[in-house]
Amino acid sequence: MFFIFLFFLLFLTVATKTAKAIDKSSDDYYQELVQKYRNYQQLIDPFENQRSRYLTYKSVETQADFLSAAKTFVTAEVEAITAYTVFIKTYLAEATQVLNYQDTYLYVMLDDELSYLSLARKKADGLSSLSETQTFLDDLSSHYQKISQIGYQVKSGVEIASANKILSNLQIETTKIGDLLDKINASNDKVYAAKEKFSSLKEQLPTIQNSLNKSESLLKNPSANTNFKSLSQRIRTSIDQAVVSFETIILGYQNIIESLE
Amino acid sequence: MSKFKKDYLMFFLLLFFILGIGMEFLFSRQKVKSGSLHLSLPNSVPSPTIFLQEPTPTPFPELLNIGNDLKSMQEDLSKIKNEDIRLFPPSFNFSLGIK
Repeated sequence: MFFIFLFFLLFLTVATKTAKAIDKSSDDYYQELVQKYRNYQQLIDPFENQRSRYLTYKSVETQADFLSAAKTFVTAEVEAITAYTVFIKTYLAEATQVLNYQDTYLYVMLDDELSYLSLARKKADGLSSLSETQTFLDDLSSHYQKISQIGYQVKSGVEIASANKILSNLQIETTKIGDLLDKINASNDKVYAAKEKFSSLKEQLPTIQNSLNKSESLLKNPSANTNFKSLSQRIRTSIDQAVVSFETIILGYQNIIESLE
Repeated sequence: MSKFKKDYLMFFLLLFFILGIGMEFLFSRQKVKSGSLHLSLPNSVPSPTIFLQEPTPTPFPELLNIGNDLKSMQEDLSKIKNEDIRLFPPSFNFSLGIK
């Protein structure tokens, strides 16, 4: 009986831990990334010191020390890249839940990169020469290029989806306010002014819509040599412009509502 | 279960039952006592008149909903107002620096 009770307690502990692991948010994964990146940065100086010694003496001993430092450095690098990849994947998953933003191909690509990184982590332990380590780093670099590009895509995609969500909500409120203004029969200057202000504010909506559609189209139909870093900067500029317009419209609508109360 | 154990069990059940009835009786008496302190108002005293203030009539009740929606939209807007720099890929070194 005692052992059954003990087993039950053990099961509860394991189940709680598993549930906690599943419930990790992108914020938690970001903290992990910060820690892994800090570990990586702490290894830069020892790595460079060993390299300087190797380049000065070129002895077997200094080469062995440099190889050892390089392996440690590379392992920390793979772990930090893995942490970044997991973070953007979780960020994308959260955005998908909240914004109905669906880009399954990004998930597939991130999963592929995570599989590669898992193998790379094992391979890093078995590196046996400096030339092999450099080849390994070249390969890692090309994979990190892909991961970085996905990171920019996730960033821009979530920004556009968030702005689109605000736009569609704003369109709903525009219809509501329009219907309300149509219902008001009172003919006074305040109502006239409210109607005029409303007309000028809602004229801005199609412009925002066009700008967001263009950004979305650029992001979803990239050319073979699209640089997502520069594209994400352009998209951010259009998001910033949309944010300014949204603020103007929301404040204007609030002003109209208050004047009718 | 032996007959001896059964007898014990029955004895305790009976004891708890009697104790339960006793407690219930005691508590119900206390309730009656506290209730007897209640002073009823004489019939001659008129019941106080409460003037209920009527809410100010709003010509358009939907205004409140629209106002709330706009407030929640401002909260959504604040989330994208600042760029999430955490998504920028960190920089790494991919060269041993020996060539």
